[in-house]
Amino acid sequence: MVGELKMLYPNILEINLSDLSFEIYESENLFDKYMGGIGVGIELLNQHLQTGVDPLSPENVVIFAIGPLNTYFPVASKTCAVFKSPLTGNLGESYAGGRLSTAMRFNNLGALILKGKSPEPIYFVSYEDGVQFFNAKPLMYMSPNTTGRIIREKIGHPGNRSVVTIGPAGERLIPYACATVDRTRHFGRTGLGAVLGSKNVKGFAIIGDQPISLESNTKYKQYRRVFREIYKKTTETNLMAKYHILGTAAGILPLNALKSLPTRNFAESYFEEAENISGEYFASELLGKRVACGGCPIGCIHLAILRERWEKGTVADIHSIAVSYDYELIYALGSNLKIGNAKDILKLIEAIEKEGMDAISIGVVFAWLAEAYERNLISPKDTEGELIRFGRVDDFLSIIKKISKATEESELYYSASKGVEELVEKYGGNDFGIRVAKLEPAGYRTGYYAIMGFLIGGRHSHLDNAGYSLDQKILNKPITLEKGINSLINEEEWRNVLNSMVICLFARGVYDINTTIQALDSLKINRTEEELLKMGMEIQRKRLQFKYAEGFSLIEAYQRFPKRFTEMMTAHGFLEKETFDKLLTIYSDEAEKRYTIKVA
Amino acid sequence: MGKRLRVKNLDRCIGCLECVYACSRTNEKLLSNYRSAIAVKASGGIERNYVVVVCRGCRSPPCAPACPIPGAIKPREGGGVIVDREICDATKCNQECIEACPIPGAIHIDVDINKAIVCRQCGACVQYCSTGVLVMEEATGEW
Repeated sequence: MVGELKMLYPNILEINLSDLSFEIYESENLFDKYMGGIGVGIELLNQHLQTGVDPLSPENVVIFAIGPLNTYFPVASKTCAVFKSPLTGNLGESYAGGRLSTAMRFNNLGALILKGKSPEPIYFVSYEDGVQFFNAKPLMYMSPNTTGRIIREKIGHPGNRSVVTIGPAGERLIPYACATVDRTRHFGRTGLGAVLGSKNVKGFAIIGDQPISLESNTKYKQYRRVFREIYKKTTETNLMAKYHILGTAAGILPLNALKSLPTRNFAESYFEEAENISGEYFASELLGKRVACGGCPIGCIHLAILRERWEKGTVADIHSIAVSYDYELIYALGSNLKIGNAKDILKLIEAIEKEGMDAISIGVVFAWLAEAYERNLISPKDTEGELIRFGRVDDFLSIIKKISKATEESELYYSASKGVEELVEKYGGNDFGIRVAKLEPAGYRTGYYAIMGFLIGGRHSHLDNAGYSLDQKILNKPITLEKGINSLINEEEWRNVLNSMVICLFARGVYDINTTIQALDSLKINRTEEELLKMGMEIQRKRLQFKYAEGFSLIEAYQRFPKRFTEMMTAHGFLEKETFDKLLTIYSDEAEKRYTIKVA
Repeated sequence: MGKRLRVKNLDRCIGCLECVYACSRTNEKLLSNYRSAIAVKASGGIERNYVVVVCRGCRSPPCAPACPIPGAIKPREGGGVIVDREICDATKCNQECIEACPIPGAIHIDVDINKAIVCRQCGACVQYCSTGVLVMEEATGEW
């Protein structure tokens, strides 16, 4: 009933997949102390996951968590997922938009915990008062989006639901498989799709339509005022303009101009065909429409319409599909593969979407294969007769399924299905094996801090601490190495706070400390600046503790850097090993001081 | 004369739901995706356009005379209707207002309070429509 929802302390839904049982309970302490998102997620992961388990075994645990600002405020539209990553072997952490966070909010669900392994493939639906399990065996190896459509038709409740699904790659436990949310958004990085696949979870839906009383859960007048201010900052200033006009693809031309766009497996930093795959080109020639996540007035999701003629079809044998594109996909499947045709990139995105893989990881795997093929490190026998060449979209299209379906008999594709680290283990080519701590990186060749950011980040993602952004900021005003490292660490700690709310990081310029404090205060959550910053640091300590307990070695990850990182031209010129060495020492000292744990 | 809400540029809708939340926040003091007089639905998947479902603000609203409870739904100057929440009681009628309205979903019954929910032309949603789908306009059409 209205007004009775204790929304500050939403429920936790814990599902034991092994016997398809569930429990819904409250935990005021948890949400009071850790707020939500990554704060709650890392705490729950520590509580429920034993150290050292195989990430693809039933013992792995997946946590989905939203935070206090979700749905209450504009652009607080993300859901955080944490688990042990089958790709990196340590912290798995990923964020997705769509309508998942709003569905969880109206379901009064603060966190969802998945444990065990279902005996058979299933999907489940969470209502406010319980969970229903459905047989998903007839859906095996369907694409994420076909699965999603079927689940939606089965469960009804249009408008009040969100559906998360995996594709064949997740079912086949490919460690960089993604989970797809509401057709166009993804938990992309670090392999959530494989973990769900290992648990026999083909998908799930959250349904929620419980109204929440603003009179009892907020300081109503103040809440409306803060909402209006944040909304205006979001829509009327230029803080987020680039996201709604060209979307993230706006970054292609500026990064290319800075000689920072990874090209040809990171060997080059400038792509001569960048104009043809730029955000500007996509918007003017292929963009079909923009859509938004629930509760976000920006609408950064750019859907291109790809018109394709049937194979050997007449001029009228055409079909059209909508494909969502972003900067990272254009880098990973465009410039980094030397593919300079926007439609070709869309074809690759669509094919990868059907398998349910992380587009960045598979793109970097493709790039390694093309370079290894060129250098005769792998032979036509290894490729089973396939040609794998930079710039040839058909070469890559024809090996996607080979990778997705690979068994141990087809050694090369099986290794490729495990990621760049595995390829390097089997075939060598470490010098051009582009990955950091086993994760294939996002598309930035901006300078030292992009690379260091990948290395020291909790989940080794560009989004951990935005080193690529720091590189660009300091182009004309150099800073000391100490200041640079501190800036990365501070940024990551603050992002832990935003990721506990859980706002979309595209709105990080809107949610400065003051705005965040005011938004929380209007929801009757009192936090000072000092308390928030302390929370960010505590979360970082826990993320690092998790990683080191799982055997992460900073030194080892650093030693395995591909030589290319020190051979490449960036916006800051060629990068030198000596400087990386210094940065690593500065980081280790600073991290040990802050977190009082051994960082090595 | 008061203005009325018009869904002027439907094709621009990005499905962000801010209008839905604005209505609910302003008129119901709720955060809700259905206790709102305006709804946004996908029509045929995300690739196709969204549909905004809301009262059209008729100057001769068929819902008002159809209501059997005197004073529950009154025509509003400038178009549309005002539901008197004190009088409206969905347990005492056959939801004749919904039957009389040719637009499915423009009026619905809030099952928590048994009242008809219909747009009161306040324009709260317009302030939070970032793409200009919704506008407030003087009634000029024949309806």
